[in-house]
Amino acid sequence: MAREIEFKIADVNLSNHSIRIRTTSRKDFDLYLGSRGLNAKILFEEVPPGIDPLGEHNLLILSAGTFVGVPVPTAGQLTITAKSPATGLYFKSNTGGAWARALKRAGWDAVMLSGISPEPVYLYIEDSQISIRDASSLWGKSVRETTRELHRQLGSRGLDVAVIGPAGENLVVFATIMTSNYHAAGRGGMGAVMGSKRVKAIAVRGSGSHGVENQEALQSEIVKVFERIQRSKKAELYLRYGTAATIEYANESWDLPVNNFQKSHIDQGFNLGGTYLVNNGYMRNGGACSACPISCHKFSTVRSGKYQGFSGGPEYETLAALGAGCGIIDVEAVLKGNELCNDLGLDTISTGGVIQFLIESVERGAVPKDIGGGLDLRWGNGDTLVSLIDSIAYRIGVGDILAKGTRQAAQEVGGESWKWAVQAHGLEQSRVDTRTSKAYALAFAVNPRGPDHLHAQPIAEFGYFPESRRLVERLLGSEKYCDPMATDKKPELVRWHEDMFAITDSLGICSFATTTSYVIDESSILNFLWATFGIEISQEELLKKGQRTVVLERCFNLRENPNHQDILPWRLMNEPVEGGPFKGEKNSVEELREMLSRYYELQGYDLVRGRPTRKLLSSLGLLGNVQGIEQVL
Amino acid sequence: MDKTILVDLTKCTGCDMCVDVCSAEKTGSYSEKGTRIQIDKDEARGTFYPLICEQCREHPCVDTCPVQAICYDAELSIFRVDAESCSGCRACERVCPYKGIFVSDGVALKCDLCGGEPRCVKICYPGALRYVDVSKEAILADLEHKLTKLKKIRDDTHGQGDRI
Repeated sequence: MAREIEFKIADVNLSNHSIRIRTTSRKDFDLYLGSRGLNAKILFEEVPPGIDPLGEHNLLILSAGTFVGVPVPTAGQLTITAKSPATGLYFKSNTGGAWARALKRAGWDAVMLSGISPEPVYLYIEDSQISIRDASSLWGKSVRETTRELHRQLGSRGLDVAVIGPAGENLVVFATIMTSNYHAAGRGGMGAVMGSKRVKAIAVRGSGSHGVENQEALQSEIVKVFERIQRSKKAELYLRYGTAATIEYANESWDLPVNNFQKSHIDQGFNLGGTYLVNNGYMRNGGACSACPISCHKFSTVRSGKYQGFSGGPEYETLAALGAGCGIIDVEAVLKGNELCNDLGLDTISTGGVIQFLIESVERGAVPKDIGGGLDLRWGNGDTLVSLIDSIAYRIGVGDILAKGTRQAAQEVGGESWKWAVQAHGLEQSRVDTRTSKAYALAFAVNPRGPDHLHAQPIAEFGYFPESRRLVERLLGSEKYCDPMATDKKPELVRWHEDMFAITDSLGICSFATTTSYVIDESSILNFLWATFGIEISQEELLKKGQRTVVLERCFNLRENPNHQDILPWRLMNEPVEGGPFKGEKNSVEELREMLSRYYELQGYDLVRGRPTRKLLSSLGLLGNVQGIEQVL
Repeated sequence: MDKTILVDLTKCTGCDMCVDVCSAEKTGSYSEKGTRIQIDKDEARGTFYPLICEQCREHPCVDTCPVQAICYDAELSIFRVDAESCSGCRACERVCPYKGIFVSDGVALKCDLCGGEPRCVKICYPGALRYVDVSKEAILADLEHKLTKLKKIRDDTHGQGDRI
């Protein structure tokens, strides 16, 4: 007998400090699985088109994945959803740490914030009790200071805190929400949305428990996943070096975006990679998110000198965005930059992106050399990086322009600067050169967030690891499709990754397990669903739940902007790779159009404009379940 | 030969899976209650210490218990808490050098090695928990290891104490 599954949501209106408890029906689990899918439905129904992302009508929904609370490997993830101040579109941002687990233990699946508080507040959730408390003494404090202060006031044991830094308070459009000190819901400015509501932090402690239908079945599937992790070379790299290991791979294969995507390789780039960081004592093995055996999260220290410090990370994206992208190979400066971004609550990818935009604008003479006061605005200066990060978070001087994101900054700079603003829809591209990886190019173009890797990560196209090659063979019929430069079958590969990613987020497991390392597959998820809830469904039904979420997210964007297009940043579409083995490669309109039309066909969209048809919405059960969905037809 | 669980401080990642399976073994569901292993986390400094009874031979908990509730179990050569006699006075909690015994809902909880097949050791993917034969060498090596780790953490966060 399958158990009743309902989601319990704390609906907090900050404007009048009222709290309402909402519970969903079983149907919401059946259609969306929870978390990311559920958030997308709520956002579509309750955030009307055209509203100001930083105004009172936006919602910020923080949902723990459905598996969180039981030891399904890697099930510790949280999805945060809102309309983004960076893009003005749908946005979900995902993070690990231990906050989601604490929320579930307290008996809640989600917290949603609406309205705007007259005064700065923080929320304290202890089991069923939720209080809205004065945060005037916390306002202005950094992420670590705030977390430490709340631990001091509320007691440390079992407490976890989601918090914004000064950047969130100051409405920087790429401000983060940080959990467990160093875990970032980084992209899309979720921290600015929280800041606009004047909520400094949400502290959670729970003493509840979670039962499962079949403990033995759960245990035996855990053992199987452990065995797969043990065999996975990718998982071993994550364990040893975290995502930082990817720097060396990318630099050696001329895939590393350097100097704002002008170049694809940097001399001495090895000095930014995981191996160098570990061997030189900068980085050590560290903390895992709840229930995670992979443990990609690291800690890093600079022991002395002007960049002395300690923080979580750094990740590949950070090393690439703050390091190689800015032409910096002094890893100590990059570690300082990482520490500051974490502590001030800034997304490292967008921070790096917008700084690179500024440096290139100076290089090309589009802005005066002294726009940053006395700063040396050339590639490769660590001190400049550190000082710009601070001025962005506090919106001082040129930092105030950068805090609006690359798209807006390009409008202020004017001229042709939009050409080197490596963004689409207002989101800075993450550090993947899509010119030399065609599945990523398609995945980035159709991503409702904008061009980044956290909607679908089709890393299998590189075929580096046996798991990748097996997946490509299973999905596409042959390993020969592991070719990043080919467009053949890439739409099929992206479609699978999109659905899988949506399922992954909704259940609260980690995309590093289901994609990239491919140690948890569909049948494994089905076994976990059976063991945990006593639910039996087919693989096809499972993937359809993912697709439903993906389509619904696109519908949100189409309602906001009926002319919403699947695009990549101008530079990647028009400027070829400058040197190395892939010299001359780019993402052309023709190439993208070819992949898109096949993608639309697979997805069941209208082939010309890529819009969902009535037939599709009806077959996915969205028509009739999601209020107002017919507006996008 | 007698066995015990030893903790390797260099390997714990704070994932809490041991806590999950221990509570499930003892109470039937996953929670922070009823568990006989806890993780002392200092996320800001990135340190995670599993707290569990290491079945030490000095057993100050046994000596200090005013109601003799901690009794010898000859089968596994360990001490167990007799929940009926325990008064929940927390005297044991205060003297344990490993912080491996804790009072929850009025009863002291302490690892009983799951009758010889400890679940936490099986689930600990990073290998921070080891189920080993008790020998003088093993214990000394373990203590040495713990000291080294503690010194390293002190060095790592040196000068950062106030900021973190």
